[in-house]
Amino acid sequence: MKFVPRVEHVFLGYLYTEFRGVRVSDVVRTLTQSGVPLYELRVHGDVCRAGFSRSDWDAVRRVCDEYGVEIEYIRKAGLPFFLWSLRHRKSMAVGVALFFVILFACQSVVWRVQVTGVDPEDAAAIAHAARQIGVYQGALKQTLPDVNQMQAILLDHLPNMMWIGVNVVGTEVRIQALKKISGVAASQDNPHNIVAARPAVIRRVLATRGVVKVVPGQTVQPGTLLISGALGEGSKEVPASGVVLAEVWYRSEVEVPLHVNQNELTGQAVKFDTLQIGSWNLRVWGWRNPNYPAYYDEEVDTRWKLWNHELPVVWRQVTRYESTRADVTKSTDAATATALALARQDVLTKPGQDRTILGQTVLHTEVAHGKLYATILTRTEEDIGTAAPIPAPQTTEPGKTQS
Amino acid sequence: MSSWKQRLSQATTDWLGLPPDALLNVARVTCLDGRKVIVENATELVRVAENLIEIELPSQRLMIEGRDFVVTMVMRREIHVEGEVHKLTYQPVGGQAK
Repeated sequence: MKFVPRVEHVFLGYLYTEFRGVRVSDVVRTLTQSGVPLYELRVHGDVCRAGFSRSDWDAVRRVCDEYGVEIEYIRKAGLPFFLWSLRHRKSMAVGVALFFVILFACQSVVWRVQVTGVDPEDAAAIAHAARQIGVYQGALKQTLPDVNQMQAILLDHLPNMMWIGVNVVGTEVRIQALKKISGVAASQDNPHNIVAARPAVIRRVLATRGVVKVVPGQTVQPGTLLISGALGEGSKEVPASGVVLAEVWYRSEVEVPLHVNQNELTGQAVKFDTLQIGSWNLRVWGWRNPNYPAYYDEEVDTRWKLWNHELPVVWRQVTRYESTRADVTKSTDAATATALALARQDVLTKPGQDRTILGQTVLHTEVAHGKLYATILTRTEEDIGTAAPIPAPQTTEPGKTQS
Repeated sequence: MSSWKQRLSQATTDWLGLPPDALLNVARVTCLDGRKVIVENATELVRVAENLIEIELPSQRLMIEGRDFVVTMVMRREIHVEGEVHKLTYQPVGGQAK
């Protein structure tokens, strides 16, 4: 008997049966008339063999009952029957399920962390740092941070690395690194002087090596010699070192608006959830829609990931706060206080060493165009010393060498 | 179908050079090597026996005679028959003594 299963039969189930009865031909005619597809139809007198889809079973039974024809199964095939037969072999079903579970589990685990591009010592350090952020053999791939994030964190942990690239390939994490090649260190051993870097008034000089050439209260200009590396009138030259704390003045021009439009929340809020599918924005929960004249939306997005692919569906929880616009007018005193604070920040964020603020003075204020323009002098104490080569003795003091 | 509609379909089919079964309600019988017969646009499978298959077509009845017939597929408008075909006979519906 030839049996060619069709695709739909594999999934829906297929019955091959034998009809026995005097009115078999009537059964066949009625079935074909009512549009029941029959396959492998074969008639020998009163016996007919036919196959049909499992979904047509009821129709076939009804017609056979009507004509008094007996039905006998010859074969049942297809997925539904196969699954039904598995009922008696639970362990096999469990095995099949377990296979998929294990397969899934295996491919969602990091099997190997490979570090390339650096020598074994650094590779070990990188592997250790990677372990700190949760990248190790046996880690769940789902829990790995984003690749760019991993790179940034690793670079933060390992400042002696120039570049770190992380690549997740299947169940393997590949980390490529490039070490920084340190430049030639500026030698501090060469004899040199310490000179002033900016105009200042000397407060304290703490020299550890060299001859101090200034006194507290002295005003210095950039380039003024502070600590000399030439000992014994040039007989010996040493690298001068020390801290020269001096008072430095900074002028800051600050403008502070006196009228500010401020948005204030009233405390009224509604919550609703939306589903963002591509460019669609679908409100799925929370139907109150108050007409706030002004509002502020706080959005919390939940994104889903299927393995490594981000789904184009975003769940957005929105809290809409009612707000009112308020015009706030500042007094000149309050604005001056703000200007002082701004000047202080301005000075503290300037590049250079640590500095302490000694005091601030408002030099000038002017209210114009709804703004307060202020010029503020900030006095700070900081180290103004910087290394400079020792000038040749004949150019500095030509008379002395002659005598 | 009214006769003017029939005439119109016929004219369209002729004019466009289409195969007649595309627009007209006629059956197409394909016989492959005397081993397989495919009947499209069949109305009804009247009789199935080992050596004779009778198929009702829109305006005729087709009798397939031969040996070892198996109807491999019966769909609403299509019938596939396999076996050793000896003879294909068309009979006008009115002339059938059954």
